[in-house]
Amino acid sequence: MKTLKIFLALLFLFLLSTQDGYSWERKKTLKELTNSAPLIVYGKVLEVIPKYEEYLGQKDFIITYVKFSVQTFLKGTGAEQILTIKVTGGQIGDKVIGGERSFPFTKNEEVLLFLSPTENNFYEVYSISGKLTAVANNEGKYLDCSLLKEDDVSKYEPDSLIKSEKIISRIEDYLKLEGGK
Amino acid sequence: MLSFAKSRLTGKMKNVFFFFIILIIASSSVYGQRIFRPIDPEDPYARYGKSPYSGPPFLHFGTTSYTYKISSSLYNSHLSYVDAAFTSWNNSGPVQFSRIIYGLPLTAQAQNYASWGPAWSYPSWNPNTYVLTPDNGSIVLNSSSNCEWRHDRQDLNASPHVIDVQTMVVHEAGHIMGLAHPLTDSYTHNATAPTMAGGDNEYFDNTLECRSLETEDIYGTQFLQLRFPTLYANLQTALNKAGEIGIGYVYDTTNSNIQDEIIYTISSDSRNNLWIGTFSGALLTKNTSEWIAYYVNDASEPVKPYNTINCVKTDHYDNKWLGTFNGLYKFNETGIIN
Repeated sequence: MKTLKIFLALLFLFLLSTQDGYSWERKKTLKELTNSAPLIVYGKVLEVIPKYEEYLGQKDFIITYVKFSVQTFLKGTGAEQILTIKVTGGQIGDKVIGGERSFPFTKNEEVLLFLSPTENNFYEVYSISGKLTAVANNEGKYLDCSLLKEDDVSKYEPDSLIKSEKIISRIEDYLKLEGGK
Repeated sequence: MLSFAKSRLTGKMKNVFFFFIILIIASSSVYGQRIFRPIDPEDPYARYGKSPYSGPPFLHFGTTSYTYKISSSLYNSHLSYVDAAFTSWNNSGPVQFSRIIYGLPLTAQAQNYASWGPAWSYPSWNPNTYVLTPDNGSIVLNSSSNCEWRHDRQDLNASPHVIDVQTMVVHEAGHIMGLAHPLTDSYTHNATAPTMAGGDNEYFDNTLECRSLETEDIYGTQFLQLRFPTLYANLQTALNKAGEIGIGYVYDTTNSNIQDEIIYTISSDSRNNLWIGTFSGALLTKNTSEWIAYYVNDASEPVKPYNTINCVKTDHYDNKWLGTFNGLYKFNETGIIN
C-alpha cells in the first residue's frame, strides 16, 4: 500500500512537470505578464507608420512603427512619454505580412500595453497576450482581454471585455506582491 | 461554327467546375463540425482563427508551385527534416513546396525565449484577393541559448529546451499555408490536429514530437486549397476531396432533380436563395429540401441552346431577370415572362 502511495505521488509529480515549461509561444496570464514584462503602460496611439525594411531574409519585409503617447506608467521607469513600438509585419497596399506578433494598431485607439525595450530605443509588445485594447461604451471603459490566458480570477474568452479599473487594480495588486514598481 | 460552339462549351465547363465547388462551400454548415481553424483574413491576428463554417473570406493559394530557401546555417544539419516537414503538407493536396535558393525564407533569430517561444512565422497574402503569397513571409526558429535544436527528439521540460526541428517547421509551415491554431480546449496531444494545435495546449505532452499531419491538419489545408478549385487536376478529384472532408453537399444529376450538368450562372436574392441558370434553359432554385426547376422553354421539348440562361440578376422587388440567347426574360412568382 505504501509503495502504491509513493508511486502515485511520483506519478502526480511527473504529470505536473509535463504541464509546465515553454512550448510554441503560449498565452500568458495577467499575473505572468505583470511580473515578467519590463514596462506596462496605458495610453493612446498617435500614429501608425508601416515601412518596407530588410528583415528575416526578406528585402521588403513590412515593419510597422507605432507612435504611442503614455498616459499612465503602471510598471517601469525611465521611458519617454512618447514611445515608438516596433511591430513586425503590417500592411502596405496589397501586401499583408501578418503573424501573431503583428499586432494591429489604429490611430487614436487606447490600449494597455506590456512592453520590452529593443534596439535603438524602440519597444516591442512583450508577449502575444501583451496588447489589451480599450473599448468604451455607455457603462464605461473596458479592456478586450481575449488574448489573456485564463487564471484563477477570470476565464477569458473571445471578446472578453473587463472593466479597465478592474484590470489595472489587479496589476497594481500583483506589483505590490512583487515589491512595488 | 462547330469548333466555335465546342470551344465555348469548354470555357463554360469551367463554370460547371466552379459551380459545384461554390455549392460545396456555400452549403457547408449542414455537415458535422470540423475542428481545424483557418486564419481569418479580416482578423488575422486572432490566435484561434475562424470556424470553417463561418463563411468566406478565407485565405487560399493562387497556384500549385511554391519554393522555400534556407537563410540560416542553423538548419544545415537538419535539412532532410525540414524537407520532410514540407513533404507532409505536399502530400495533403495539390499545392507543392520545393527547396531551392529563393522563395519563403527559413531563418533564425535570437529572441527572448520566455516571451517569443521556440518558433514563429509570418504568413503573407494579398488583402484584396486573399491569395496567399508565401514568398513574402518567413519561418523563424529561436536561436537563443535557451533552446537546443535537434532532429531526434523533443523535450520541453529539459534545460535548455530540446526542440525538434521537424515538429516546429511543420507547425509553422501550416501557418504559412493559412491555418491558425485550433481552439485550445478541444485538444489533447493525440487529437486529430496535433500539428496545428502544437504546444498551445495545457494538455500537450512536452516530450512529444508532432512531425506529421493528422486528419484535421490535412483537412484544414485541403479546405483552403479547395477555395481555388482549379488547383486540383480535375473536377472529380476536387469533388472527391470535398466529399472526403465532408465540408458540404455535392449536387449533380445523380442525386437531385437537377437535370442539366452545364451551369452558366449563379446568383442569390435578398432571402439568400440561390438561383442557377443552365445550358438547357432551366432556372433552378432550392427550398429547404428540394431543387425546383423552372423552364424558359417547355420542359418536354428538346433542349434549345438559344434558351440557355447566361445570367441571372435580381432587382429590388426580387424579380429575376434572365439573359438568354433568345432575349431577356423576367421571372417572379407568377412564372417566366418573355
